[in-house]
Amino acid sequence: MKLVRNFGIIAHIDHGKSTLADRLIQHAGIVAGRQFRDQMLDNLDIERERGITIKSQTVNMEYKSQSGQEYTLNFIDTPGHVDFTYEVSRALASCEGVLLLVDATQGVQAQTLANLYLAMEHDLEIIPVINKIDLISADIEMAKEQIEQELGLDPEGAIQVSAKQGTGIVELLEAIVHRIPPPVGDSDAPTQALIFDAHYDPFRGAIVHCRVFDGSIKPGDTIQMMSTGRTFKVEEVGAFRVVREPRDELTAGDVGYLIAGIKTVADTRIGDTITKEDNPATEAKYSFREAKPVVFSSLYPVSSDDYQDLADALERYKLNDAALIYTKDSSIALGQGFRCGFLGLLHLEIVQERLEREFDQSLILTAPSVEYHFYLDDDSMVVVDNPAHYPDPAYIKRGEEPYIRASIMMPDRYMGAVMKLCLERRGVNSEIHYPAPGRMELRFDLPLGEVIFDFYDRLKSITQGYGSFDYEMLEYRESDLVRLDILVNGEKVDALSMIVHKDRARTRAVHACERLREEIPRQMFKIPIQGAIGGTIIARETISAFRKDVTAKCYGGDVSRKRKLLEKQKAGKKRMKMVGNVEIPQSAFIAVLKTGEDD
Amino acid sequence: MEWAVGVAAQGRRGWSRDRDGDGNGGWDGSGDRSGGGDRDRDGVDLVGGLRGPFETLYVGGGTPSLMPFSVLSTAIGWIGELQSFDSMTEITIEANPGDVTAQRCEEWLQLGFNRVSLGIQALDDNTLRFLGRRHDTAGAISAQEVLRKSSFSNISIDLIYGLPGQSEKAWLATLQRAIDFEVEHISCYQLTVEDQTPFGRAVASGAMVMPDEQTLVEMFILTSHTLAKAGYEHYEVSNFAKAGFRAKHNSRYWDGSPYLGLGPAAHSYDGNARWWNADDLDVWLKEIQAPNPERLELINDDQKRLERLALGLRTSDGVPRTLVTNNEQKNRLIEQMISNGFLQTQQDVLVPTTKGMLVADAMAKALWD
Repeated sequence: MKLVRNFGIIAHIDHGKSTLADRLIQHAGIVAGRQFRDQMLDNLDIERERGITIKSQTVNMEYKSQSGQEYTLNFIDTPGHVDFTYEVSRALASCEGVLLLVDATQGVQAQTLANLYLAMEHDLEIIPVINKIDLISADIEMAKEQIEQELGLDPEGAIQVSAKQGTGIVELLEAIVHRIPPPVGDSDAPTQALIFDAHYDPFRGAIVHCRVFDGSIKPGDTIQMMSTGRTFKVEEVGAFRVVREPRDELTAGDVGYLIAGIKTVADTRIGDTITKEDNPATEAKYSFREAKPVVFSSLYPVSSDDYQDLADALERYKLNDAALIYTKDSSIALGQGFRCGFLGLLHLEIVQERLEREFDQSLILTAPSVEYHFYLDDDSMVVVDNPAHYPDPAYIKRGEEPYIRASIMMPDRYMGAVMKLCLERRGVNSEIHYPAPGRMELRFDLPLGEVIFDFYDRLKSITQGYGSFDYEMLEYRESDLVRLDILVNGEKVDALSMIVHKDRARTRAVHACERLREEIPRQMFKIPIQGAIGGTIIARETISAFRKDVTAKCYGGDVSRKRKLLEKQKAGKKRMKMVGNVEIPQSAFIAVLKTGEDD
Repeated sequence: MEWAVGVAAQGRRGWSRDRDGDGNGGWDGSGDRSGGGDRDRDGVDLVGGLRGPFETLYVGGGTPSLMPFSVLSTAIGWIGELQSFDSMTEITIEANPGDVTAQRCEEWLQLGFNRVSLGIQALDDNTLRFLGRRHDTAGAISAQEVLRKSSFSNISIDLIYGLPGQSEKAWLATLQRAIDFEVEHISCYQLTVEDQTPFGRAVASGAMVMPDEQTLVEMFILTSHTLAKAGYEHYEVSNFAKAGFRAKHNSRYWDGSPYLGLGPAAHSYDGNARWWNADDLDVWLKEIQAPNPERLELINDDQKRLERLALGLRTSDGVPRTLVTNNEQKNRLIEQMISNGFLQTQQDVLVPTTKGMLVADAMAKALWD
């Protein structure tokens, strides 16, 4: 145990975490040269495309130190995004130390700070690592200064590396074995192992990623999940050496995996503690907390016939993503679907994208919503995440919505535009910092409900991709909330309703009506599109009617040709949703969720 | 069951060969194949020994007016052997203006034809050239005069409108001259541009600009009103008739009656199945001996309903209300169509208005499922 080192990496997006991981893996020589590829640990398409880590990954490797001592290193790569804070905290709890990566060209960023606090909570040894020192724009002194002033760490202990060029990697490995303490634990005590992640293997079931604190786990043991009491028989334990490598057992201090015929990752809840049935621990190593969704949206199949397909896809998808929660939902406009809870907007996008790409689903999403609190006349409070459940306004005393503290980093030339965007989205308490010449950080308190509505895309667009965005949750604040309904041809389209602040209702209504006018094809009748709060119309557009849809000639007795043409046109409308007598294409539901350049 | 029988005097290939400019149709100069009628009679046997009775006969599909008497006689003679032409109500021959002579009129009358459908298309030379017709305005006028002087008492003419650059005024002038002919029946087709044609490519490339929807709608309504004032009933999207002179043969296509089509590309329908002959003359001839089962489809009840809706809503006879599912959504839809002036109800029959005929396809699609 003395020769084991468990550590993680904390980094902001683009600060080079995946590249540094690649270098460490290469140095340990556990992957043959030609099997190596960049971003070795980012397996999902979406991770590689976006340069982010969604699922945490663990690598077990050997390192022979300069003194000749052989060490076992367990490196846990964690997601960097705020949506996955809980997963990060469990991964960090499995470590004794952490590398805190700072980009020498960008300095310390907001998310780095948030994750640093997590590391400090777990009392980890923190090794600051200044990366990208090879770049001309690198400012090592600035990075050191920020490490001292903003992070409160000793900059003298910072290791300078270029992950890209491999500079400083040996120094870093030496620091890891000498500065990070070995794990402590008792292999003879009742078993306690923390689940910090899990993924699904179609042949083996859930693969549980865990850190053993006390005791041991080996094939044949019957383990018990402490939060649920459920038991499973262990089939295999081992270490991650990019691929799984079975071992005889995992003992106190080890990080590895176990396979126990567990059918879904929902049975392997992140943060749960594993013990053994015959000699259970009396209490869990860490108190378990269910991942809490903050963004909600309903998913519907484009064609109602595909409901069962979507149900199956969600079930299979959830095998690998315990954080997604869903229940049945139904809409007059869209039929049967699912109300889903996500850890954040990124999580929502990931789920949507993976369902579409990997499970071949065509989806319609409703406007994302947060959890609103409504205090009613009888002093009760209801939590509403679905506009369909908005209480009767006559009984609402007041409403509350969640706020976040947003931090936006950007080159200073975009400040005006970003400031305007934040103010439009009801931002308050602005604060400006200049972390480096030419760069600025804008901080704002923003309602989360405004951020989940196309905020990130707008930010990317107005900063030409240079703006980055992080946030932390603040408290609920009082807010004048209304439900905005969209009526097409006089009928409410329930799937387009949203809960919004009263001051934003008109803008959102006008936007939705305009988008629908553009997307809904002309039909036989003039179609009014209206935005309404209760009985009050606050926006209106009209789709004019077409006046001609007939062929001049029927081709003699070739009635089949005519019929087939009509059948084909009709089939093309299968992807449309009927609301009353109006056909609404899928694109219209999507367009309503996107703002335009001029919004 | 009474049948309508149509004889396609030429397949599309023959017709396009003619359009290539050799002036000859597939039947002309291939007289040795003129036994097509006989062979098709074999075809008739193959579809169940059908021997009529026939109510109408239509000889069309291109340029039967070019056929020599003997060929035409052979093509329809066998029908006459089965059933006296006197017992049929309408026996039509399609004619190109250039082919109409006093002598031919006599021959046609002698063969038993009692109706001529004259493909005038337009009454100004620029338009006729644009449409690639062989006749000019003078030829069109003289053709209808020759017909009128003969003993034909049921003459129909075809016109095309909605052409690139055509003004409402120009079209109205053409229409007025056509009214002056005092023919019994007028078909007015809006120009349809198909994608894979020279017109289609010209429109796609922007070389030709079609009138906009608004103009076409106005021209349609203008046509309907103008012809109504002149005593023509607007009984189908593109067809107008004086009292008692609706095209009986075509009407049978539109009301779901059975019909038998003979010759290349001709379609037949017996109320349950529809089958059709090959376009290609050689393939057609071959398949008379050995019918191709792929050229047949069974029409299920739902499809029948769609066909009847799509065709019926094009006509002033409309469709029975019972063709539309009786549920709240459809009832509301019908109400909305009525209140928007597309439909009228007459004793459980849904009848399109003039404005409604213009959206007949949309109504059929919406009312169908």
